Amino acid sequence: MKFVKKPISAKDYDEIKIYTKKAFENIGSESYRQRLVYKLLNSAKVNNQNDFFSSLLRALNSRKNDEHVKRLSRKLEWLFPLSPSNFEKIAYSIIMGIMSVRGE
Amino acid sequence: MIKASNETRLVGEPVLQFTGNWIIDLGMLGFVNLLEEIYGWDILETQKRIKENEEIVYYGLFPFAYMCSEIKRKDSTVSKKIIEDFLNEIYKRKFRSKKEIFDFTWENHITKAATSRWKDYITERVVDDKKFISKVSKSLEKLKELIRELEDFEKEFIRKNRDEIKRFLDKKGRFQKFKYKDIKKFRDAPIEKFKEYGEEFIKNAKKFKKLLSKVDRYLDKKWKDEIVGNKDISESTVFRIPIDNKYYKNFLFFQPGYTHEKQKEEFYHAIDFKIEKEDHILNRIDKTINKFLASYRKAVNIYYAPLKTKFFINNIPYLFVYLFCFDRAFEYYRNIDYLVFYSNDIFTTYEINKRLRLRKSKIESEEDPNSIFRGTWQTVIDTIIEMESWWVLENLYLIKYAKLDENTQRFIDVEYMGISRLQATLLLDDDIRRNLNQRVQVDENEYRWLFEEFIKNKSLMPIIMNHLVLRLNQKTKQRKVQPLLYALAVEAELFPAHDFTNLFEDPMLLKAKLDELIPKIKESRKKMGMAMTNIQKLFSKDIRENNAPHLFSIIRRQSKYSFVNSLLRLIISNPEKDKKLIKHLNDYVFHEIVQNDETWIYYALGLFIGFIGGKQ
Repeated sequence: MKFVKKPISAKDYDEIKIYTKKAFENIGSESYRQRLVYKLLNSAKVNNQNDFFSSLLRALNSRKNDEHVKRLSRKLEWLFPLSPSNFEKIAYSIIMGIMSVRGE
Repeated sequence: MIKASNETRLVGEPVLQFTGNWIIDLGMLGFVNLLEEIYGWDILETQKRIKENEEIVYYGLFPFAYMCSEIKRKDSTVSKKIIEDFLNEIYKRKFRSKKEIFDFTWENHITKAATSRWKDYITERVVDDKKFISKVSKSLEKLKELIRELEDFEKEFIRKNRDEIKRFLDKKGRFQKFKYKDIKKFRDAPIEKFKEYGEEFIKNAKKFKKLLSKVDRYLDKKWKDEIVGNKDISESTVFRIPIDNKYYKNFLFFQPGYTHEKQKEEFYHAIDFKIEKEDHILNRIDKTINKFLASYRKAVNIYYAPLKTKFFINNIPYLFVYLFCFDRAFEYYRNIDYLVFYSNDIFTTYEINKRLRLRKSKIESEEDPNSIFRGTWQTVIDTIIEMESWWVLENLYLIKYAKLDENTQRFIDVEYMGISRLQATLLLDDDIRRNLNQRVQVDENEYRWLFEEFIKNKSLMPIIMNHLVLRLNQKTKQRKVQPLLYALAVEAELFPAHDFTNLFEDPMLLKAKLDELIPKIKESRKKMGMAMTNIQKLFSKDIRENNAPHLFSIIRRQSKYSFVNSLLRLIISNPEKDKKLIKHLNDYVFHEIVQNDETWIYYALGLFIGFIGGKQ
């Protein structure tokens, strides 16, 4: 896979985390999100981008008309494809975004 | 006890100031030490006295103190009263010239102070050197007779009480004759000491002591009548004040062949700077002062021009006074040799050396050869903080001499202790200094001083790592966490990416940067502390203890994302769901670890300390 060098800044990671948090505020229950985080942590650990994004996108797909979900998707679309090192940083930004959703 | 140097400056320009030449400067320090040794004055008092009446100090107080100190070095005594009387009298009198001050001091007081030294010397020579008596019998006409009387009795005494004498003097083997040190032992011992050796011994020992004091009385009278208070002393060398110096041999007043009058004259000229004969050239500043210098006569061409007195007189009046005192700047430390701490400020240098002397026994008792470094730094920092002269930090030296001995004059080591302005700035902050001023255990019997590593520009990280291994395995009793957090925060902020290397930067800009640094370090330390506390709140003791080894090994492998991964798993599977705590940790991990590629490991360790706990 060819990676186009995109200048990803701290601001981008911040945005990803915030967008993720907003998007997941309306997705599933807390235990659903917990299961998802586990899954994502497993994929991130073995650096498996495909698994990671298929789990993530499947979850996002349930609310694809949500404004926040759209923003996150657009951001991810812009970032793709990711080098393995960028992937880790993005992956943990997303995971931590989900983890920072305030539960009910 | 000296006050802040700022205050001493308010008193006015100090009269004694360092010149920048370390030999002269240490001489000046030795001069201050000498006056302190004899009169008990600190540096402020000495400065004050010089200001009030310079000539009294250099032509009266100095020669008297110098002679007293040399006499004491010879194990003879100078009573307190002699010193007090001298001080009282010299300040009461009016003098018309410096020569008059010197003559008054020498004739009336130095001679008085030298009485016991002279008597000891003559007795020693007469007893230990057969030929000496005939040399001096012209001047000390009765001495020969007294000594014969003493020796005759000595023979009888030894014949009758040989075994007891051997026991008393702790001697083995054949014993025929007393040496001076045996006689001294008899002279100094009280009669009660003789009791255990039987009646006859007591009787003979008493008589021996009597004969000894007869000799002593004769010498005492002779010296007091003919020398003390007198001007024209006999030409004989017998009446020379018997002093010499291990470090300097060539100064004429140490010459054994000189008469009393000549000795006095040479001493005066040395103070007065007139110890050269031709053309005011400083012939005697060469090898006499320091073996590193060539002899002027033998190597005239090594100088671009002859050193003329006037250059020195204008800049450093009393140069030789200071040079004489050079060896008095040093203090002898067992296992370390002669040592002095030197910086560019006389007040700081004086105060630090004084405090080092107070800590002497502690410094000597430590087995660790680095203890002098440690002791010095501790003292240096304490003093500098108190005196607010932090600029001194950048110019510190430890000078070590193997022996203060005329043959070698060899110094072992000059250690430059100066530290950068950056380090100085950090150490002047109370919190940072207090926390880095800690010894941290790194192995079973090994401790590291954070402070020392820091000023030696070494990384603190390996120390923290090794220490944490001990804590994990419960092999240390140390529990404090703040020094660890400060060490981590300091290093995180000083990471090479931060540019403090440019020393030639505009000082104003550098200062601004340095001013920002301390708040930044404190902020980092605070963040780490919070993260550590929150970990302790969030996880039970069991969870923390079970997971600590695993997390630590990940940090050691420097595997950032594995660490984050494991930590997030723990957080998400933890039954405790305090949202605030989790949010805080989440932000910390995100900003300080995930996003931070350079210094994440310091923040990871800060948080990790929460897993092993400790005392705040």
